Amino acid sequence: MLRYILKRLAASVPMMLVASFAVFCLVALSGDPLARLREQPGVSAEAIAARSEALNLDQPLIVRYLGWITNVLQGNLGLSLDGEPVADKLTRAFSVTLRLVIAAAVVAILLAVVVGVLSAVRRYTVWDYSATFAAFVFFSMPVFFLAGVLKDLAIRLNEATGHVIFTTVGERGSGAVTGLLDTISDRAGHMVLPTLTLVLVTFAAWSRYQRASMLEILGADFMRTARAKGVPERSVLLRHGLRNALIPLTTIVAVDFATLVNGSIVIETVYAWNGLGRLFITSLQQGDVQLSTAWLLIAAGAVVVFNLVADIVYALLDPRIRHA
Amino acid sequence: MSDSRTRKPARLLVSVVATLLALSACSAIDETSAGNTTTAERAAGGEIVFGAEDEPSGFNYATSKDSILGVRDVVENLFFFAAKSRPDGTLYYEGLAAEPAIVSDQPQIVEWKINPDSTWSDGTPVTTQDIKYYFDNVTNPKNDVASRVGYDLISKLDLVDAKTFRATFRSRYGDFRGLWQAVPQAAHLKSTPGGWENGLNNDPGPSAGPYKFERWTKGESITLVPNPQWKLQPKPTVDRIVFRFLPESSTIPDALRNQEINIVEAQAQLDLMQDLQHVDGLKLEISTGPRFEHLVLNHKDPVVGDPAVRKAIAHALDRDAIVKALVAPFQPEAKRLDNMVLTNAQAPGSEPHGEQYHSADPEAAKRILQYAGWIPGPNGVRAKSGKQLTIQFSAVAGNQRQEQTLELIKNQLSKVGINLTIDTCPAACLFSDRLPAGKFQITLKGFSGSPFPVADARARFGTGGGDNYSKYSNARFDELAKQAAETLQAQEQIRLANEMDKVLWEDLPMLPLFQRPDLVAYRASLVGIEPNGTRDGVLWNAAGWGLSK
Repeated sequence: MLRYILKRLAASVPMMLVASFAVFCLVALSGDPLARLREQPGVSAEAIAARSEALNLDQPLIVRYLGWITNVLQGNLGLSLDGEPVADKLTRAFSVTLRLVIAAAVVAILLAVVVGVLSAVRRYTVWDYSATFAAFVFFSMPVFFLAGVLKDLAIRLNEATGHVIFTTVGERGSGAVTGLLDTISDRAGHMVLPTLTLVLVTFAAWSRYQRASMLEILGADFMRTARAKGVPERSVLLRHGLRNALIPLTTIVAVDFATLVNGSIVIETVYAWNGLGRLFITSLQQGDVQLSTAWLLIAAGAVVVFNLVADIVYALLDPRIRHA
Repeated sequence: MSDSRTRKPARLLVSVVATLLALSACSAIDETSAGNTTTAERAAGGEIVFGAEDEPSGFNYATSKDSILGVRDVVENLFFFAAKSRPDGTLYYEGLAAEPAIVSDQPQIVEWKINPDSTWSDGTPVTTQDIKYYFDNVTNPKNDVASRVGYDLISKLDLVDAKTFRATFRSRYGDFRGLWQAVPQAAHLKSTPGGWENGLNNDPGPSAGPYKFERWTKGESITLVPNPQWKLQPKPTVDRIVFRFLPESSTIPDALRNQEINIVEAQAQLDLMQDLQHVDGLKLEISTGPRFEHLVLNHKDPVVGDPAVRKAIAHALDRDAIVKALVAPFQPEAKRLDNMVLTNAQAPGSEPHGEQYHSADPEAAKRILQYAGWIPGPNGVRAKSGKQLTIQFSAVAGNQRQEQTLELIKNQLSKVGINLTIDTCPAACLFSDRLPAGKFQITLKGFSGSPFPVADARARFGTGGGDNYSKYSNARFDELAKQAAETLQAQEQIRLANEMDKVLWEDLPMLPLFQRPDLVAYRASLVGIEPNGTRDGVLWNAAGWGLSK
């Protein structure tokens, strides 16, 4: 198994190096980190040149990349344009995104399991058709559109009640928050809309997997055997059926987790959350090469790791894969 | 990106003229210096949330690292400012006891008296030691400083007493009233690790303004609270002002609608205006300043370098139509800009020139080209000595408003037989490579004027000027600009600036199009908001902001 893991990790290294170089070049060529400075009145050419030198912008692209990747390999992600360590920014943003993604993933898993199992058990009933319809609607709806619709509905509700029940900006309030309860209430209030958006787009696909998996299990021999042995139907479904039907979903969730992080870009932009998504967009807009490339490198790394986790889970579940 | 929040320059220019006119126009220092709000209109307490596009990178606005609008917005009400600009471009001397006095003409010696009531929020007075420390750092060649303009001309700084200081200039400098902006407390900077360049990265230290720094939640917001040591008028009545960072302008309308922010200042754009107009309980106001859009014409280019071609382009362009299409939809009173030096048309003394180009005259353009030997070809495009009159227009890729402008210009020029081709490249490529190297024929550019229009014009049009992308050179212009820079008389400087402009209209190193408008949108429940197109921006009088009773 260890050999298998090492083999997979080794295979991902050249891919990540190539990807990082491509991203570094694309970002470096597409934005001007000194654009805002140039816009300032009275800024001398010497000041711009000095800043350019300080940021190594006067160096050839390949030299800049080699310097950057060397530092990265030594564990130093460098400094952002504003002088703050890239690692600090990524850590801060990651904690915000993680809060959103974990909350959304937990709710989406629960929702997907319940909806998927019920759809399978009550196949071709009104419930099944309704759940299928809803799943396909959310699955096919663009995230930015769904986020915008939810946001608009929430604001209308606020306007109707005359109170700001749902907040649409940021992951926390800007005012003075005192006490634990206030803090929890403030954070929770800001989480509702972004989490709901991510839940709806995520649960849709997962519930379909869960339904298909459950349907397959329902027709399995061991289920018939359990029923024939007189095991109560509830126990057949939950203990024998659901437990086995969860295995495919587990691997799908593992694979999708990294995608969820990346997918939060749009949601964080719409709801102005200061997570990884918004950090990435801002870094691109400002031409912050070090930050955007580090971001992408970590995102790519996360995809590799989660794919590896999925493969390992597969391998553990099915020895044929491990030995192939 | 560079267009994203624009008023910065705007304000400055107004201050330019402000600077120039200060002698005559802004001697009054009274309770209404920073706005017209009275305490009677404002309820006590409450919070105002300002939607800010840029998050500060630190707080030392003098460094190139922190010389961005997001920093300026925050320190506007924190640091010591000798002078600020009112919306009409005149100056008021927030941090001074009186207008700076010219003690001597030759050599030029100017005396500043710090307001006796100016006190840092830690209780210590603002003194000449703060000024001296700032000056020493700004003029230190080893330090990161965005602009040393003006300070580099001071040969000696004398501290007369704790509140009075004098500067001796090695050559005459007419814009001296604009010096000593955003000065942080010296004692704090000296004692903070990181010093001049990094000492204010996380905390601006004590405040000399109406508010003081409370906290910075990175990526989220900065909170200012009233400074109890602020002894001037008006005094803040709100509990706090919060700068909420919203880099995406698309989130602004909903944030205002849901009352999660109360006020925002942004570049006026049609889609944003349309969104905001549908929000109940909002007030929208437009302000303009010295920030403007223009065409840069490369004098060193074999084709555009031909005066006949430049004049034909100027005649063929219908600048009014461009203004009508791009700006008038949300600013009906917008007009084309007719001064390349005094680019804040609202400021006193800015005269329109280039009368021959005020309205499009395609026939005149055709006559000029014909006379210069550019003959129409079978496809309608003119040619000379077998070479077609095709001009390449360099533009930033993916800029929608620029693309709209280009389409209009292309159509207008095609009517006189000039074929315009569009060449797009990333902003970094255009502004860092092609423009400085002169590798273009025509391009569209925005410029943010400062409070020093003459200094700006010398940089843009003076021989060898740092921003002289058109590679323009005219001895008469250089001489006028030198005279204007050295005069200490505001009216004379304006007169010379207008003379400089007339020379430019003869040579056409650029064609001004229009001033870029800034938008201030705020909840109707706020009082005391006065949009300000100068560098100081709408936050110039935040001390007088409040919630209505």
